[in-house]
Amino acid sequence: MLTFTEELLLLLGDEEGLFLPVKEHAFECALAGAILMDLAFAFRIDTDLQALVVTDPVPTGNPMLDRVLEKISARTDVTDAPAWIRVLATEDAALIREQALDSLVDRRILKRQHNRFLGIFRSVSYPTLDEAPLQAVKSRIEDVVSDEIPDPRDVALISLVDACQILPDLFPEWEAKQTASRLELLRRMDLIGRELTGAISEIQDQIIRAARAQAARFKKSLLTLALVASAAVIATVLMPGIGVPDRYGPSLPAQLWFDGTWKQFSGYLLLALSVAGLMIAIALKKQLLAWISGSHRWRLSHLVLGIACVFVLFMHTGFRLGDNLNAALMATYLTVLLSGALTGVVVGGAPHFRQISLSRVFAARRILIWVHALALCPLPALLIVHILSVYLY
Amino acid sequence: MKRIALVVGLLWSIGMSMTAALAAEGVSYEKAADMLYQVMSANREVYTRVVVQRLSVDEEILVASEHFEDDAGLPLPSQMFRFVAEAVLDNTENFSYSLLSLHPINKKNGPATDLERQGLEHVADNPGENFYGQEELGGERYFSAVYPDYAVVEACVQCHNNHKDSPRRDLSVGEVMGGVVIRFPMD
Amino acid sequence: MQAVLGLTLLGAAYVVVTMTVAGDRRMLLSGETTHAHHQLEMACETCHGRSVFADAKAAQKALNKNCRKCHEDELKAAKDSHSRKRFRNPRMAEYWDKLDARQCTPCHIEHRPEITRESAVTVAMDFCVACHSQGEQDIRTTRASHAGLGFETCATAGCHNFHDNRALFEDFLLGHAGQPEPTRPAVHGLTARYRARPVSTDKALQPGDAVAPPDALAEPGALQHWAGSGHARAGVNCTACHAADAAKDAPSSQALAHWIDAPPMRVCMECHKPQAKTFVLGRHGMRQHPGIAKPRDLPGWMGRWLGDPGLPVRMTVGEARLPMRADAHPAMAVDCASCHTEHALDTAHAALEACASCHDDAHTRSYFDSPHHVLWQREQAGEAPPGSSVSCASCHMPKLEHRKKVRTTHNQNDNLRPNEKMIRSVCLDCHSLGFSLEALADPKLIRNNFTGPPGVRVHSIDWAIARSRNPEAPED
Repeated sequence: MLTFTEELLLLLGDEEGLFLPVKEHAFECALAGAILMDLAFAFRIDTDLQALVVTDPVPTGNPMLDRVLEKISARTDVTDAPAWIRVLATEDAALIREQALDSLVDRRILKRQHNRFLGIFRSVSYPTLDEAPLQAVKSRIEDVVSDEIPDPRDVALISLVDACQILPDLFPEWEAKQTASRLELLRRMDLIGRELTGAISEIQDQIIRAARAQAARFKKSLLTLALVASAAVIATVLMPGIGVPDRYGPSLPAQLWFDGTWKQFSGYLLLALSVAGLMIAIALKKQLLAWISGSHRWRLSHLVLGIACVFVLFMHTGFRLGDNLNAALMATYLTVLLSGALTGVVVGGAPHFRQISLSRVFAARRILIWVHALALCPLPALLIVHILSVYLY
Repeated sequence: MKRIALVVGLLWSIGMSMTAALAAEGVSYEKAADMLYQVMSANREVYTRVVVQRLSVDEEILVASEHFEDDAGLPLPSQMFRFVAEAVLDNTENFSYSLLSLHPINKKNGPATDLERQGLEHVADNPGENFYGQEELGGERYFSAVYPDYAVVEACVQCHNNHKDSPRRDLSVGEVMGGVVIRFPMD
Repeated sequence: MQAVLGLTLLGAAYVVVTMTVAGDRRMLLSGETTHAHHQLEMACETCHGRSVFADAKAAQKALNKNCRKCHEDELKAAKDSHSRKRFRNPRMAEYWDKLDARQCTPCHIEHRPEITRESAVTVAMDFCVACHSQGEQDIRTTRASHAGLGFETCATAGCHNFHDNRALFEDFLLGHAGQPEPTRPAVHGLTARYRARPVSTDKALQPGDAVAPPDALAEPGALQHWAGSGHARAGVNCTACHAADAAKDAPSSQALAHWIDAPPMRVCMECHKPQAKTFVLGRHGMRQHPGIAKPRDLPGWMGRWLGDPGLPVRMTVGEARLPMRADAHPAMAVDCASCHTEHALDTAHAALEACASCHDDAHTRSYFDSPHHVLWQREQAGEAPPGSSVSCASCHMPKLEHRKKVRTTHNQNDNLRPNEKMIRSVCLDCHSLGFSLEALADPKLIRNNFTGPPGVRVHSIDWAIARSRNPEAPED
């Protein structure tokens, strides 16, 4: 039998493009929740409003569960379920994932595969060998939502999946409202033994809450950075070029904007930053970075790089937009920066405009990312021409 | 005493080896400068005597004037000297020369480097002696020679003593008025 | 996405080819080119040479060499006060870091409209501070009168120029000090001499002598205008211009076989060499300057596709940066006939109406209400002696003497910037130096074309006098 943790991993897979931050944060919390549920179903722990207590310290025989059980027994500073979800999500999620994946590989459900990209990014992926277990898990969820009388394990599983907010992705044909009411009904039914009901609903609540809190934190940073980036780009477009002092002799502005050496320095720095930003984006897109525990940080650093680019661009141009081909280069580059920044504003700001439906936000985000990538295409060509023309003339 | 002998011996051998090094390439910088100076001063003397003296003093056909173009006259010998020096710079970078003074009518002809000042002071204080040295200018090493420039005729003295921009008005014929500086870049 | 990527790669390839092989490269211009050079924008090599990937120093050197190619003579004529020659001497090494006068580009960089000031200067106008604020060169201590002056005023107050001080140096000021304004009508000596020159009528042709096809002879006014022109007076028949390619002594019937209705400019230039030579130095004719780079060579079929845009031979009204009249057609190009009406070759027209038929700035418009114009009307009416009037050409294309011959310069930019260049060749003929300096330093007076007294005081003559009286003491 698979543990909740393993089932959850199967459902989430290592598929591409889980870009929605809520899901991503939920995933770490859900892993923590899954392992707690596994322990609850093994009758090793119990929870109430005040505390999460170990009821039976005897090992379960599953090393992944036993490690966590030992940790819960040993630590006295963490008492209640919410705290344990936070602790496990931040400290153990990556290891839990590793262990669960190992177990799935051992059972020949998944295959471990090592990849390299650009000689820099190394990654491990887990293609499916045996589709059956995943289908089994999915059909169990389907059964729960249809009118079948569910098994307690199935109720627990669907709570986890629901907490991860991946139901619409797994079963796109389901009506969201109907599913919600059915889940609400299941939750109220006393289908699971008394010992477990409290634990499961408590854990599910906590997963959702913790995920929301993390997502909110991320979105707040994302929104702040994206707003800074957007403002910087818009300023670059609107501000008049900064003049140089009308005094003979070297001055910082004159050196920055009219001295060949400085221009080369800022120009190549800008190029390096832009390439770094692009590498992060590619790595994220190709899932070459450990996205479970860190992709949001990488995404934020992509944005920080973007802001750094606007700053270095200012060093390079002093708000001058250039002429002819230089103007074309500037326009394209600013389009890349602005579309990127606005994507951040849309995603990070989504919770603030509730009247706009999520699908609209997705559509806006898709269009912006498309513009972001499209504007990127002519950049290398324009850059080559820009750099060549400086050295040729 | 021994130490002094050692130092003197060392200096002597360094000097000899430098001279030898210069001689190995042909003529020493010092000698080349001396020869150039001979050409320059002979040229100036001939221009003064055959052109200026004859046309403006003896035959009174043309005036010799600082503003020779406006006055439709002859350039002064010192001007002629400088025109040629500038023309030489158009043709070669292998050497350059200038006519300078510690008390020039035009400030641009005052000493511009430490060596120039030192050399001009040396030739003024030690009549009959030349001054040789090395200096670094614009990141390159130069051999520089300074030769005394005398007030040869009354006209020189007259003009310098009466010019409104002249800082010295007590010159007399035969006195050192300034110097010719000849420079070679040392590879 | 891939299509976009492919397209831009194609675009980049095209641009790289235009950069390295041939094609129109104006899209590479990093900023508006100055008034002086915008007509040559498509001929990059005129200035840039072919120093591909040379190090910065060598590239600068090559660039400056090309500056000198066109501007050296003019600087020589200006008795350049900061000549390259003087600063190339290694003894001036100390100054190379302050303001490198061995080269043009430290002060005049192209394609930087934002920092380009009067006379294409691209450093702040207080540049004199670089050298004249220290040691023996500190002008504030060596000239007491200059103690309180700002360095931004040296070159902007009508007292000094960096290159051309022919009418500003101290002895010149002293030589012209105390002159009263001459009583009018004063006469521009060279112009008077030119107008009074004996004109031989030995070879003069009559209307009946004209050799031309019948339809050309029938063109209204043509014959009559030619008959009254200097050409007819000097024995220049129709075929001399309209069939210039025919042998000089060919009989008229053979010459007519080579007849062309509109002879190109080179026909004029063949005889009027001195005029042509100066014409290509000014902005009207600079596109024919021999220093302009030829389009890069490409084999035939490639040339047709990718060749450099040929440099238009003539400047057009549409390309002008100065204000032009709305009724002057943008495609109208400047050649000899634009000003010298064909056949009549009216120099009076060329000296005034021709200019005002295109130029439409305040200075031009104000001319017609100016005292100079009154003088012009009087001379035209025969009420004043020859050479006493002032047209556009009197100042901008003055008569100059070279080897005892008086000629009209056709480089109308020669004495324009800095405007003190005009003092010797033009102003002093009729005005005192003091008046000239002040008039030229007053932008308002230039706009209204010298109608009224100068509103600007230039102290240079007073200070020169004070210093000459008492060189040691501080002047005032």
